[in-house]
Amino acid sequence: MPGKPDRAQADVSLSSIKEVPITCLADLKGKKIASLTGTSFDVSINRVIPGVTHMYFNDSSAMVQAVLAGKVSAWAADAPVARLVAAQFPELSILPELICVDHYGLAVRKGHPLGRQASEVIGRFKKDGTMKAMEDKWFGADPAVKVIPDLSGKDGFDGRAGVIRFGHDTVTEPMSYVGDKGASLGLDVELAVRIAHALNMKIERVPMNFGGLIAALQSDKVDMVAGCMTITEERKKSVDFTVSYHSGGQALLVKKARAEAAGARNPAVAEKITGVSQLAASFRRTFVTEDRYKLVWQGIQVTLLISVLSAVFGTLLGFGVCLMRRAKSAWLYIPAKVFIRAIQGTPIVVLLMILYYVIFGGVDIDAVLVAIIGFSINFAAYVSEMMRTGIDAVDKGQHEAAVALGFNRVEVFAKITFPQAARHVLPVFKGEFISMLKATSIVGYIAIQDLTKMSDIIRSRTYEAFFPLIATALIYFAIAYAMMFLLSLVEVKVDPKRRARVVKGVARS
Amino acid sequence: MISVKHLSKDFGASAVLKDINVEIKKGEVISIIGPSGTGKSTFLRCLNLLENPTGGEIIIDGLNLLDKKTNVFRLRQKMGMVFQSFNLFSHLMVIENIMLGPVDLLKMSRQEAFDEAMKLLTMVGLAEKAYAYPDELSGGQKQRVAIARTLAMRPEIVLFDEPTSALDPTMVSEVLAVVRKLAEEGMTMMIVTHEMKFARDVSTRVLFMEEGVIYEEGPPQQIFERPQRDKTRAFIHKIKTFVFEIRSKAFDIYSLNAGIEGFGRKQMLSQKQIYNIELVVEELVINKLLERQGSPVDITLSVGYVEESGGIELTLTYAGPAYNPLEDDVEEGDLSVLIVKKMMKACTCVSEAGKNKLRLTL
Repeated sequence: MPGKPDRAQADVSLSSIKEVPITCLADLKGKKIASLTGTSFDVSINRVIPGVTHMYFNDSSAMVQAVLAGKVSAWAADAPVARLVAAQFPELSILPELICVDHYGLAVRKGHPLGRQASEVIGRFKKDGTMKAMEDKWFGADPAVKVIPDLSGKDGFDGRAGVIRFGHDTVTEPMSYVGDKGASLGLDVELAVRIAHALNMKIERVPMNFGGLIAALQSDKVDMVAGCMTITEERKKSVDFTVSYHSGGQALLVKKARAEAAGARNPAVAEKITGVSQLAASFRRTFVTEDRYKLVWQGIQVTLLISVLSAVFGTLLGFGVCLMRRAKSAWLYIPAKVFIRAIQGTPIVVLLMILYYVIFGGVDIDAVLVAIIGFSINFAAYVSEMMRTGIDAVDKGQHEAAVALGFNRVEVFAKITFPQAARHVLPVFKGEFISMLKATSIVGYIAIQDLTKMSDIIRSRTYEAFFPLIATALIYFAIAYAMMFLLSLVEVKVDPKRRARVVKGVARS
Repeated sequence: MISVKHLSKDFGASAVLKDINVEIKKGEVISIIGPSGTGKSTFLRCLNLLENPTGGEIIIDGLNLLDKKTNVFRLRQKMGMVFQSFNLFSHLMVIENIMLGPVDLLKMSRQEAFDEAMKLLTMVGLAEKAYAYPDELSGGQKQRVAIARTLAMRPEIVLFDEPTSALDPTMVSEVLAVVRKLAEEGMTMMIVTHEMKFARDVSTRVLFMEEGVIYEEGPPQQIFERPQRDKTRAFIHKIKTFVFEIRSKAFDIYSLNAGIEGFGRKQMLSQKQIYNIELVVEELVINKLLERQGSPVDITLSVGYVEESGGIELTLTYAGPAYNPLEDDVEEGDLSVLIVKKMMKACTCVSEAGKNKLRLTL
């Protein structure tokens, strides 16, 4: 090629990075592929595509955004999920080649009779067409029919045979997700409900992170779990599976070439006509559709409950630790010191998971209670040190003066030291409380649906990142601001200079 | 009322109070004076157990304060304490500072405590500051509030721990005036102070403390005008001293002169005064005393500088039979004696039990 060979070649190579569409598995060699944390896609992909870098995400909406933004080349998902997403996002397409064909099963604890019983029921459902009917319903396009039937009372059901605690994933529509008013939805959920009914057992639905499902099963938090869970040899080492109830496949979603995508119209893109109308649409999708504001409100309540109770108990516990830390006896201050160091040196997520899956592993205890215990302990470690510096900052001479007047140690603390220490401590306490309130956003790890988790759930339905995330941030900000305001009222109370100068119980002469 | 027997207090290895014995009677005003670090404050703080004594007895109205069964909190209420650093409760208004004890401990009604507190504030001249916070007051005002707070508990004795040491000189008198008034009203008091004039005027008895013991005690006239013991005298007249011991005929004269020179500079003496001291010492020691000394030599020289008068005192203590080098066996025209007599203003010489003490004023 005479003329300007260099320039021409450069153009070609540049466009190859951006534009060459991925059409087969081989194109993904050495690329980045996204998958949900705790799934087995990475293992299957490694068998068929060499040199892939795996990126793990906690929700599907983030993965959609990652593919669209080119941060990853493909997203590995279960075929039913992939089909649903591809229908919503015309810019995405499913590779015709599957990673592999796989089989979904319900998992139970090793050796639990429920596995065998459920397998029998699934076998029956396959024969009598119930399975087929469910697939048609959940894989279909009509959202109106996508509800879990109410079977109670039918066919002589009285629920005497016991309760199945059923843990399921929240972000794999159409198989297992959370919909209107926080209801558990999806084919997996309906299947579990029908199995329970067939076994004359009641069912308790526990929405969780996929990554926590097997841990929850092993630590006896739940009895059966589902969420497009592929039956693999590795998983079989830790849990038992029922027979497969659906043979799907593992699919890859990739971005279409620009030309192809232009022909398709995404509803989200179509609404980008004006910023305002798009914002209104996002608002509707995030808060109004399926009454999602109720989910948000529930999440806010959980977040507030955990943070406020943890602050109260943490402060009380912290006070105790502070007294121990200040004690002269080594039997008291060394344990206090060790406690403070240990807690301050452990990430709160890890502490929570240890509490939930290990310490309270075999105990039937509400996850919210575990979160309150965990955050109280964590808060106590920080607050006790704050209190210690606050108390030490109070002038020793005043302590002596009070003792010389005839007060005993407890009275001196209550009347002289504490009111002054409170003034030193409150500004830092406020900050610590707010950072604790924000830290509660990790309770999703132990199957609690707080504000952050609710926003994850909503995003897994709307596949939108910007609006729900900004809205969540604003809600946190508003809560934090309100709490700051309440605490600053207390601050005024303990600041002598901001009090009215009157003596209580006295007629001024 | 209070009797203290063999009281001692150690801080680790150092003994701060060694063996304190004192009787305090109702209506007495006792000043405790003495150099810094001799345990005056520690003694006061031991009296109401802000410090725990190491040994001894403190008996108040027949009850031993150090007995485990004694209700210390009860007994403390009878003893008020005023601190050097005021120690007002900074989160409470002046009036609340004063009311706190009476309301919570004496179970007075708030109204009664308030009225009482206002009376006390009027007494110390601070009624208009009732609704102020401590940090809005001057040092002198704070200390007067602290005194009012102590009096509100109706104590039988008030202990003052250097009440004016942390004050600006301009504010000392307003606090002392209040204490003086209390003394006139017959309040039993113990005051650790560095205000000598005040101690002299106001006290019925003065304790001079030195190195953890009561070194000398007596009525103020005795302590301030006729102190019986050397250290008391040195303290009262603010005498700074330099001591040198001569133990051999071949002692180091240069080291002695260097010592006198250093001491003189420190006390801001003129070069001429320093030279005079050296001259007198040389004439007396080398030319007169040394030749009469047996072996070993035993001469102790002390140079004192009296801050108040600016005078210099030389004291020579030496062993041997009675001998005054300026009077006894003096030959006509003895140059040394002439020089010394010309330099000095006065001279005393006493001799007892084989020890001579010659004191010269330059």
